[in-house]
Amino acid sequence: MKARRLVVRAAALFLFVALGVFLFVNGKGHDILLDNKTVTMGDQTYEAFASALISLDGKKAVEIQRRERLPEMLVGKNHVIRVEVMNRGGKVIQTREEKFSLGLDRTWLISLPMLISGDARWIQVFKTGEN
Amino acid sequence: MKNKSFKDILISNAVPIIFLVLSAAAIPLSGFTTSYLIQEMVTRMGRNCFLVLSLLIPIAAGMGLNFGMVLGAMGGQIAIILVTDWNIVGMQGLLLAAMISTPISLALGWLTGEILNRAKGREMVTSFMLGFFMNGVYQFIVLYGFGMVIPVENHAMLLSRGFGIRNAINLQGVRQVLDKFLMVDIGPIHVPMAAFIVIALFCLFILWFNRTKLGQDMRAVGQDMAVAKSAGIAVDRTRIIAIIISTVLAGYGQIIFLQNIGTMNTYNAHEQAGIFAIASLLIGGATVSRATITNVFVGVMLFHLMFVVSPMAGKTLMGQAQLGEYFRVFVSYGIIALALVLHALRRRMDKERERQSLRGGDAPAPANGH
Amino acid sequence: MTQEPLLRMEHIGKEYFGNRVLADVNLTLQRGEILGLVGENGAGKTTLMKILFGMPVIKETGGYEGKMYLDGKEVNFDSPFDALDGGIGMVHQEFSLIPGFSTTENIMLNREFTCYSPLVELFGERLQTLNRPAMRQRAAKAIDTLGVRVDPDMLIQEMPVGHRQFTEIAREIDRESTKLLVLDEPTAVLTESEAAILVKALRKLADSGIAIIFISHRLQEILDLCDKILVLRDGMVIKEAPTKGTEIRQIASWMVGRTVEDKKQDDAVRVCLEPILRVDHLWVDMPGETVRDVSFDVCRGEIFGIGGLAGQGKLGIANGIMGLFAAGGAVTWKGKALKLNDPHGALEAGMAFVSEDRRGVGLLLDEPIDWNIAFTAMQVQGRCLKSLLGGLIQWRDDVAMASLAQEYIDALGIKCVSSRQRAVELSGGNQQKVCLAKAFAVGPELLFVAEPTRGIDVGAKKLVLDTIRETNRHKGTTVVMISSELEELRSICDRIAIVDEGRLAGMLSATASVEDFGLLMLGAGKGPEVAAGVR
Repeated sequence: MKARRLVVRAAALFLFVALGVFLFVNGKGHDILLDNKTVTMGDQTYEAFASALISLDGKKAVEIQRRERLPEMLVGKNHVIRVEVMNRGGKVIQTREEKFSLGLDRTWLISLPMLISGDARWIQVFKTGEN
Repeated sequence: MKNKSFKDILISNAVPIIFLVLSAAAIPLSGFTTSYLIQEMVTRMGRNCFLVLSLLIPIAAGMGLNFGMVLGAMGGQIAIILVTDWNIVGMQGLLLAAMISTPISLALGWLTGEILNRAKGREMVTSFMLGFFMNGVYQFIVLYGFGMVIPVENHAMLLSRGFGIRNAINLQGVRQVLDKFLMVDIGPIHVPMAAFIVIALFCLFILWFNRTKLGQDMRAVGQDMAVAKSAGIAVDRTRIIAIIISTVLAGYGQIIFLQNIGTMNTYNAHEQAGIFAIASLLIGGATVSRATITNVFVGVMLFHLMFVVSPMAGKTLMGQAQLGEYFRVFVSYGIIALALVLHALRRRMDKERERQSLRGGDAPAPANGH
Repeated sequence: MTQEPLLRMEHIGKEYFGNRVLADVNLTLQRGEILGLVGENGAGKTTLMKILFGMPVIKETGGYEGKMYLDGKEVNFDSPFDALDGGIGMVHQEFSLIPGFSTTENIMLNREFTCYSPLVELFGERLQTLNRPAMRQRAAKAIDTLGVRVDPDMLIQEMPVGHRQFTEIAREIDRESTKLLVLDEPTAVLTESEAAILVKALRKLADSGIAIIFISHRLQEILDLCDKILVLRDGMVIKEAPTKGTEIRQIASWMVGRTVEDKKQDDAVRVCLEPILRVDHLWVDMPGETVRDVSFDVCRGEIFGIGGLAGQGKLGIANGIMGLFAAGGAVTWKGKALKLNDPHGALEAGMAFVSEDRRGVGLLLDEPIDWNIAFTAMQVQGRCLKSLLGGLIQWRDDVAMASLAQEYIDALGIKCVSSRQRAVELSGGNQQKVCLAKAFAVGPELLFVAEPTRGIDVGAKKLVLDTIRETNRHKGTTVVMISSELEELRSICDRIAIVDEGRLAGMLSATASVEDFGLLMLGAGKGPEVAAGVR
């Protein structure tokens, strides 16, 4: 009887903490910066493209132009991004869908040119300078 | 006993009746439309009832109107500051805030209970003073602790010197999350159904709790501590539990309140919580020793009706909205004083009635041995 | 004896701080037997029951001597809860009931039947819900056992006192283990018919095998109910006798039968000239000393005694007339109606009061003797004050105060360093003298003295009594003296009224026999012939 009670209480405490951790991870809001600029990583250069439609987690797509940086907000850890690159005529010329998961950091930078080119470093933690 | 005279009913409901009359006079003066007033009342009920309900259990345990709930509100606020800083948003943020507030309020409630056990019979004033003291501790934590000891990621929340939380913080992550979760429109009125469901669950909890052994013990302790003790009930422990339940729930209540408002007045929100909750309960017809769920709803309703109506009524009447503002503060403190006076008066009346039986004339003849 | 008695107490003794209150008490009780325990206040009945019940106060003051056996096994209860587990139930003088609870809830208090709820595993036993139908059934059964009719759903605060008493008893007998029931003055608050029902119910209980110890001041009940009787006096067993063949008078004399030590010194019969104080249907709401309906006259120049057991209301009379507690009725002072609930008015009218609460009401403990003595005179009569601007500004005249104090220090022989010594530093007897001096300083026509010898040693007692007598004889002050010690009253009073249950039980001349006083105190007075002089 006494032992059972102890087990139940320990389990409840564990569940409480577990739920807390779950909420913490799952409810964390992240600022995402979608970036369409030409980047140079080492000796490799990724060219920005004219425009693209970007949809995060299947939501309505936003359009991004060359040299633009759009802020977006995401809640939770695992997400999907879908990029549809368009040519000047507004025709989709390339589509790419990527899954990604976010750590506990607040702000992340997604470089669209790198993503399209398949460079694994397309998503990075964005460090703001101390202000 | 059963056929109470009209006068008795009037006397025992004096406070709500006074307020009903005052509001009835002020509503036409304010010029608000009915639908606006109903919307306001619905919103404010959803916002405040939970906080006021948290006062009920200590009253049943005979600890009077308890400002210990202010400590619970502080716990809720610290939790909500943390959650906002971590940027946990939506329902998750709200739940996490409630979970974080639980251990803080628990510890504060235990502290309050221990202290009130050393000040039996003077719980109201003691908890009021304790509220002031803990306000200092709270301010120290929030003003110095955050940013110095407790890491703060979101620098927008900090004062420009680099530590301490700003006077007002924006709770955009959890703003009206509960209210909007299940918004039902009845005619032109938006009803935050989820908030009302939570409140209904709380009422059910109180009703269920009254039927438990612990609830029974609390009522016994509340009515006669000495008798309860001699029957083997752990009086002090029971009282501490009553306070802890109240503080923890007050913490949740404050979180519900803040998510509705959407911004937090970092350094004052909890003070108002205590005064307004107690004033509401008293306006609802509760006394220091007796309060029911009905008192809570009637009280919150009347108090906030007054709250909404009086500035505009003041403006129409005197040309100054400021006057109504004064009136609010005057009313909330005044009503507490009035209710306490009425309580003392009623106790004296009861005593006078008891004395009737002592008088020679109508007492039974002396009972001799044979 | 074929059977081991249920309860055997052997050579029980107890001292409180070197003060012996019980010595060598032996007691045996069989199953189903009813023992009547009688004795004056302070005879040791309550202490004996406290020992039996394991009250913490006993242990805290050094435990007790002797041994107790329950069912042949030696027991020594550490707390009342142990005693309850051991099968001893106790019904106290004051009700231990929750007023806002029903009969059922009170009977089952802290022994409620509960239903399992899963939350128990998380938050402990007390989150079980109550099983009210089962509780109600159980309570109804307990009430049935008593053979009385009490509504199980009625709230305590709404029921007559008698039913409350039954509820308490029902609670005690509901414990399955209860073998012995102790009832401390259960009938004190009951009407005659209620008491009769109670007696019948107890008899029924005893027949079912429960032993009962019954404490009462109503001797007739003891005779009606009990199988045997144990008389305690000054902590010793005076008499153990079967009730059969015993008479009230005998019991009364066993109880109060002290040898009278000092006879009255001057036996000159004094004639009552005129009533100076007339009290009509006085009631006083003094906690623990309620006065219900008291009427009497006090003659000019006499010493009027008021006696009676503790808590019967004798102290309430003086406190009520002096306006210290809420009172009603009519008090006529020298032919004029006295306003009640007005302490200043009573003092101004020429009355003074030496309170039984010496350290609380009587003295300003942290102030010097001269302040204490002059205080009332200064407040009420404006003595020891210097006036300026035609009385617009007044201040203390320290010189006058000191000389006034010195006068009384000499007259009463107050032992002190100087008149500036603080009252708290004096011994009990000397504090009492300061209280008397304070009252004398007003020059009262009527002096109320309550419990003047309480808590002071024997030598000082005599001095205090002598002082009171002297003031009466030489200054002509009328004195109303209230005391629990009958001998003290008899030694200095002219007439003595006995108060019982808030009413006058009778009035006797100080020369009446001890037995008559005893009977009055125990509420067994015979009515008209004894109560002559009571209006």
